[in-house]
Amino acid sequence: MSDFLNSLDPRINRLNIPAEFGTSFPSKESKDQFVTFEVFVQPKENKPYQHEGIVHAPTIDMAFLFAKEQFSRRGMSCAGVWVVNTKNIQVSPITENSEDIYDFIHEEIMEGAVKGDAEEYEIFHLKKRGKQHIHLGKLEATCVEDALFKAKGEFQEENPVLNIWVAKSEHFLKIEGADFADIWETLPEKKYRDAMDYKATEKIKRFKAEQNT
Amino acid sequence: MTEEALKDLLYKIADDLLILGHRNSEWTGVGPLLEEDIAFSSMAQDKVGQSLAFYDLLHQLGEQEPDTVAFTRNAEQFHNSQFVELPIGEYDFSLIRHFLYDHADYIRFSMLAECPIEEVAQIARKLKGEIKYHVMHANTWIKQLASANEEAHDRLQNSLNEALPYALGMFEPSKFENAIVEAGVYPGEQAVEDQWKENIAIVLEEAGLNLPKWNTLEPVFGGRYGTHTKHLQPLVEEMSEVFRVDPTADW
Repeated sequence: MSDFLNSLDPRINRLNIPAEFGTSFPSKESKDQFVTFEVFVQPKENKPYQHEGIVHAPTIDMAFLFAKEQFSRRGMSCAGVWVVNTKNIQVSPITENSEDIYDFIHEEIMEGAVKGDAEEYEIFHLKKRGKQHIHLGKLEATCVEDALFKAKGEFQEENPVLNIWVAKSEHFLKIEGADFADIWETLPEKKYRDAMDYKATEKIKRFKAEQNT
Repeated sequence: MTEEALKDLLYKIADDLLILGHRNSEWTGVGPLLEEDIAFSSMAQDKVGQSLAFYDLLHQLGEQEPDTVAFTRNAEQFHNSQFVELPIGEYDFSLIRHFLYDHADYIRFSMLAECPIEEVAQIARKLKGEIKYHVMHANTWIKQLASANEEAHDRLQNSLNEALPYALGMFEPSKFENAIVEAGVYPGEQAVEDQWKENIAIVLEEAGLNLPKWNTLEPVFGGRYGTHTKHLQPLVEEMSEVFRVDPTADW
């Protein structure tokens, strides 16, 4: 496989283990922490999913439980949450100086790639440093390199994309749609969970005035 | 059905939520892992918020302000089941209680969502989704822990055995039970209990936990009409400590 893509999982890079795509990460005898899951939130229906952060969890089901309360709890709306094991996301290099990462992706990326059956892949773009990765859509591909190459045809935009995440759709747990619509319903009313909702300035002024008289 | 009967129903629902919400918030900062600490605290906060919806409705029916009702009563004036006032214990007990309580609440709210009293139905419809997530949370944890290792499994089983008689106390019939059921407010505590037994049995079986025979258990009643354990009064005092410093303060 080309060394264009790397695993997003920091433990793989930190341990300096070659992240050969398609090979499984050797498991430690005893683990000192849970694996991480990446969390994507859809702020409103018909808006794209965006990356919000990570949670530690023993399983993907538990990752959802945690993701929901870490990333969709404060006075805003939410229409769905996706979670995916960090190790299942492949990440492209990050470009500098507004270069478009897609300009570095050519057919040669397929050299040495191990093709399988056509499967669905999800594509995410980072358009500005410090912002979140945004979901662009999904496409069918025979391997991750193929997905990346096809993404160029399908999702390259006028503005440069700095970084791309690719992951197989089957690796996501997607809690969304009509079956779950009611679990987000009261979120926008929970303003009391934000410090901003406690408007104390007037009260402090009044208190100070009372103290001075 | 009289207004007194309706208030009796609303008080027991609200008090269960407030007391359990306060109890569960005791895990804030000391939960088993950061993400769970936040999730469990968040659900505890949901419960306190849900209790407020019912205290507001009671206020509309002529009862005192929600803060007054929540913070100035003594233990014997609370209508919560003894189940929710028990100390948090270790996490296995808190999880089992969360599992048993939220399954019951989800059924009760689903029934009340069809209530002919529109104000009640509205609250139930609105809050049902929150409780649905609470049930998802409970089911996932119970299944995960029960299959984790022997210690986790045994702890859950012991907590389940300990909790069940108190959990059955949630379904203590109201003095007005017949009137409430006849008026079609909801199908009543017996119906909630029957459905609850079915629902929890499915999850517990999947988790490999055993339910004792129901007829061997003696429900712990009394909480609905002021008979509480020694654990409630200290909880009420702690919960209302700040309020009592200056009851007239505008927060």
